Amino acid sequence: MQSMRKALRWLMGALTLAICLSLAWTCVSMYVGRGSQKPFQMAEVTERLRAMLPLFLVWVLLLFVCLIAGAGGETDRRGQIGAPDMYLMQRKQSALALPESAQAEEGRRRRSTRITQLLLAILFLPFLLWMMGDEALSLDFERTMGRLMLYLSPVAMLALMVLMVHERKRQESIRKECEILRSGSKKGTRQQAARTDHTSVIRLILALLGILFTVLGVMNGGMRDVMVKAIQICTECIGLG
Amino acid sequence: MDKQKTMTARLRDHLPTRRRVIQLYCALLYNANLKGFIRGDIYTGPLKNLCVPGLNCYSCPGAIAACPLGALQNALASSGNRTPVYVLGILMLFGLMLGRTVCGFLCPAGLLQELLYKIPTPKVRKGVVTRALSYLKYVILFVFVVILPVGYAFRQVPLPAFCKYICPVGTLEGAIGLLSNPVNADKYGMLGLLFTRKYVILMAVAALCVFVYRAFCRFLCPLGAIYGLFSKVALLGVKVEMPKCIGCGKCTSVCKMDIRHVGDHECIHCGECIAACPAGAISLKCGKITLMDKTQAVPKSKTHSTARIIAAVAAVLALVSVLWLVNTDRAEDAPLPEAAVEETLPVGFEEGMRAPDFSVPVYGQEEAFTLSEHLGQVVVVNFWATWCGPCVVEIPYFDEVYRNYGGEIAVVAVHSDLVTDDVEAYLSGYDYAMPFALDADGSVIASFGGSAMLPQTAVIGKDGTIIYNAVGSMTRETLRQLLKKAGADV
Repeated sequence: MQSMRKALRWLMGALTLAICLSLAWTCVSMYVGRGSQKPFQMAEVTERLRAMLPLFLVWVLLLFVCLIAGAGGETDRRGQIGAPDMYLMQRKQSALALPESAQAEEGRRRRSTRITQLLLAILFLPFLLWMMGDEALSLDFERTMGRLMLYLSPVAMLALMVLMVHERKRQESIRKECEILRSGSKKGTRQQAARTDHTSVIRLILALLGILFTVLGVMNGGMRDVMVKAIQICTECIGLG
Repeated sequence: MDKQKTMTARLRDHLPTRRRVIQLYCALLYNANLKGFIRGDIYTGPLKNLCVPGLNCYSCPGAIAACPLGALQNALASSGNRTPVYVLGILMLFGLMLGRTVCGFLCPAGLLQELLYKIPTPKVRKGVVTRALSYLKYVILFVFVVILPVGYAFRQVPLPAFCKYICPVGTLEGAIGLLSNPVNADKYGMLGLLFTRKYVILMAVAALCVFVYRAFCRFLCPLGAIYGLFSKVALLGVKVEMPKCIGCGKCTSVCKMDIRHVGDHECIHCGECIAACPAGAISLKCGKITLMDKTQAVPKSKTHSTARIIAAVAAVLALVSVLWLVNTDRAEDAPLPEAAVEETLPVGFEEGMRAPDFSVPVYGQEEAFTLSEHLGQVVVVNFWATWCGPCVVEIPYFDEVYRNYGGEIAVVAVHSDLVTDDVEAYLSGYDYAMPFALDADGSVIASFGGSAMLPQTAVIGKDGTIIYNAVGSMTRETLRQLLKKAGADV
């Protein structure tokens, strides 16, 4: 029964993906077929969607089959990765002092975070400087977006890799620190300084700023600007522009 | 009996939870303009001065208020003229009061993603890759929501970059919402590369959401990124009572978001961890008031249950009031008075009809521009606004026509009655030769069939009949072809 449910899920996944791809392909083929000469007509769009109706019906039927067979609902979450941070937080809250080895591990982790932040800044700074230049912000929006993707994509990929490496190292470091705490080493324990909670003060400042900005915004016409844009159909936002 | 019990238990799994009911309620409340779906237009009433907390496109036929992300981009796009404090203030208040509880409870886009995730398919687990990808939304926030609109604002070109190039919610609610109504069949002609690209993005995001929990919310949504910045200070949210916590980590392992600990900037405060916590250390709190904890099955006291009933009744009354308010016809919905028209051939705004006469005051000139005075000339009327990006980009094309063929072709750019900037001050920054006029009461654009979309261009032949009248951006080539069709020697 379990293997049947698993097979049904895979089939459902494949069919859902097929439908999404078909819908995307329908749109692309209509555009490519006619180019800029009014590629989309309501009658043609309706006809093409009608042609996909059997696929939708099969999908709905399969959905019912999955629900009846119990292939729906939450899937097995064994092995779902959880972060070890909660154990560390709990130990820090409950312990007045942490062992020196744990403190050292934490120091290493903080240094690693700083290095990652510096690396990310180095990656993104040239891109940001390029963005600020006149060359980047051309009135030919397509050209701007094309160049943006060209410059941003490799930077984003590198940044993603840096973050993945950092996250893996960070989790290893936290696990190591948790092991130290579990082993109950008391060698060279140091008192932790109590941290003052500034949350209430920050909340008050933000609340006052928020109210002040809102009132100023109403007075300087900002609210009317929101209204003027909101009562017009933003053709470019919905792809009609 | 056992089989039936299993079936009942399975069905019970799919009953809506309290959070789901709240999500559905919010989706209906944000899109309460039901007559917009029937009529194929959008709500234009006073509620659009306000922003809803979640992501809901204001070009959706049902939308009754503005989208905070769209409003932020438009405000930043106008930052050359006015500091965008109103939207920033609204976002600060939402962030402070609600934080990412908006994502978990109040966002229709989040609801759609969760419903897609319920489709029974293999699922992608969270891990190091998804955790790293969750930072992508901050990049999108800074590049598409902040830098691009502000950068172009100083070039006086409004560009809501995220809405225009990425937002799948706008494509779904706005484009598909409007175009699925046969009344808008003529708008299909405006679809092109931009729509195709956005539609592909919509399909890609929808497919991803089926396999990855809340893929758009986790990886792409800039609004979630903004609210995540308030995670440490938000009043409402899931909190952990550390003295009770045993550090087992079940909360983070049961959570489908990329959290490191409960309540961090990735936490959407959905409350799934509340039931999972063996020590009962987690609860949904508003300040010091506990709204939901592990023992939610039984109300704590009579006061608690009374408060719940009052809140539920108030919510239903609010929804009914809004539905009544936005769906009943008001005086403002009455058609605008049209300009005076000649009592001869069929007059109207369709191609082939006689163009309605109008007279509009021109900036910097004593004489008004009157259409009937230009009989015998080809006339180009462009309806535009300073806050409309595509309008601003195409104005130079019309000015070029005016400069080169001013004797044979009359050109006038008519600004919409909805003015946000000082139009004269705006125009003084440019060296345009063609006349710019103001349609103060909106009657001219109404007589040309226009209402809620810009830019709109009308080309009128030498005999006063309309050759072309449509909403959409104009290119040099298209304009040239239309002028040739109208009989101009270009």
